[in-house]
Amino acid sequence: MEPSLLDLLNRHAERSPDAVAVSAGAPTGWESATWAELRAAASAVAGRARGLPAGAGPVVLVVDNSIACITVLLGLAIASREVLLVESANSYLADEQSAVFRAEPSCVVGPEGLATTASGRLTYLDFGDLTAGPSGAPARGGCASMIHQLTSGSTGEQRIVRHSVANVVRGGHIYRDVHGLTGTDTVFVTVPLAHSFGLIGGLAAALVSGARLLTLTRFNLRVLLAGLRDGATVMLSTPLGYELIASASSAERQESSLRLALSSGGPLSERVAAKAAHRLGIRIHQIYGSTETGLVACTYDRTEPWPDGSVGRFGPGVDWRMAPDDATAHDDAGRLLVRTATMFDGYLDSGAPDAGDGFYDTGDLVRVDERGHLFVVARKNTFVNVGGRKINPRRIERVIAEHREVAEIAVYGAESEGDEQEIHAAVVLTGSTGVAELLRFCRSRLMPYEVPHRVHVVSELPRTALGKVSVQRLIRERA
Amino acid sequence: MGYVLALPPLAPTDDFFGAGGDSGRAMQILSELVVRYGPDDSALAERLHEELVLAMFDDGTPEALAVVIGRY
Repeated sequence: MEPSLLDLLNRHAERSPDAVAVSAGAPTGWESATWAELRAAASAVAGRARGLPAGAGPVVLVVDNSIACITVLLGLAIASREVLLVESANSYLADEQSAVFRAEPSCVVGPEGLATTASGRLTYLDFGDLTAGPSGAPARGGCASMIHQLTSGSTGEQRIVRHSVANVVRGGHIYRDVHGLTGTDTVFVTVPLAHSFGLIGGLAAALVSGARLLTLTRFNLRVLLAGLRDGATVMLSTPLGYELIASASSAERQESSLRLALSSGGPLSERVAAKAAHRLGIRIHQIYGSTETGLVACTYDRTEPWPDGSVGRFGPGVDWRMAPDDATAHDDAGRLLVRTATMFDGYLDSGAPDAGDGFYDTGDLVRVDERGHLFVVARKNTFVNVGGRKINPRRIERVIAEHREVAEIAVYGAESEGDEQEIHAAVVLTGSTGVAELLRFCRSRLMPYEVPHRVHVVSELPRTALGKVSVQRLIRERA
Repeated sequence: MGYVLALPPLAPTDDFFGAGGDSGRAMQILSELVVRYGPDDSALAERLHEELVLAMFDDGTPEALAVVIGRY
């Protein structure tokens, strides 16, 4: 049985009331709260939660990584309110067709001024409405508290993943155990806390370890570098984040007590990994997981070097198996199915998370070597089924990218007429190359069925906040 | 700086992020600026790139970046 959030807050507030629990940085400065302050404020929020509008749907929390936001999140969870996390830079609240609206939220809580930019159909509250004013006894609901998060989904709309708070706390224990986090650590989260990596690897891991949490309320490299100098021992970022950090700081001028650097949100290229490791003086460890499952595999500190290209070994409590994938050219690869200690409870719009045996199909094509190292050969939706042939679009991208006037490319599958898929390429071109020339180039290097059916010339590839190419937006915008 | 956003050139006081830029685009622009306007000396060029990356998130206007470039 995992300790509850309130148990954890009580433990730290009693043992080290005056130690800083969380500091949030912005260009205007840092604000901090001690464990005693955080416990008091979160308990008061729990007490005010009974004043929130009633409604079947979750409370949508607009997550800006501020102390007020963290306080409200903890308070609502303590009060057993269902909470749906969205990051502050989002377009869902203005889009009445979005998954957030389909969840029929009882209200939206966020930073001041939110209501002016969002749909009038929702009820808005500021963090301040919950962090200040009279508070009663915590209104504890009868049900287990749930945290909902958006997931990119597959080819369709976004979906909402449900996790119990106990699951989130369990996920924090896994990070703590794998990476040896303690109360002397300072965990610096440079990614949004609304997503699984920041929420579990950052907030929950710090809570279970009693570590100090550092966050950024607005991405700014000077503030980030200041956080690194200010005692961060663990940092969480994305491949792009590491690229920025490496670009902005010479090794000789970067003093820090950093001992652990974690990367998630997308594949970490060898180039960025090497550049960041050189600048930070430590190896960057990859986390491979999903919103649905939590951590699946990771690399961690050990004396033996990790094989190139591996995302590490399976985490504690992960059961896995591979589904045969006869149609691909990879004899030893298969689709990864996993069952973790932090499995989701299901999607908001449908009950079952799996086909029945508790395993989640990651959709990723992987290979596992004899020593248990996991290699991701192709990520979810990264094959396109063309008439029964599974084409790896990453390979097509690589081939097309060899054209000297292709700056960026995304290749993806889209539904054609009937139930078939076809290959689309969205491409950023420089110089005078046009679609005709590009297709001529493709045909000289690819089998006819591998040549994109459609080429969209775009000015930039749409990306998610974590830097992944958003195939969903590509499909929607080019429909 | 508008080019990378498929926009007309930004005015000196237009903020890159306000105009629709993101971190990835920013990296692209800064590399281009260093190649086009930076010093020939590679160590100095690297220093300029570092300063620009930092400056971009403080004040992402052409005017502010020009001040940084002007020092090299």
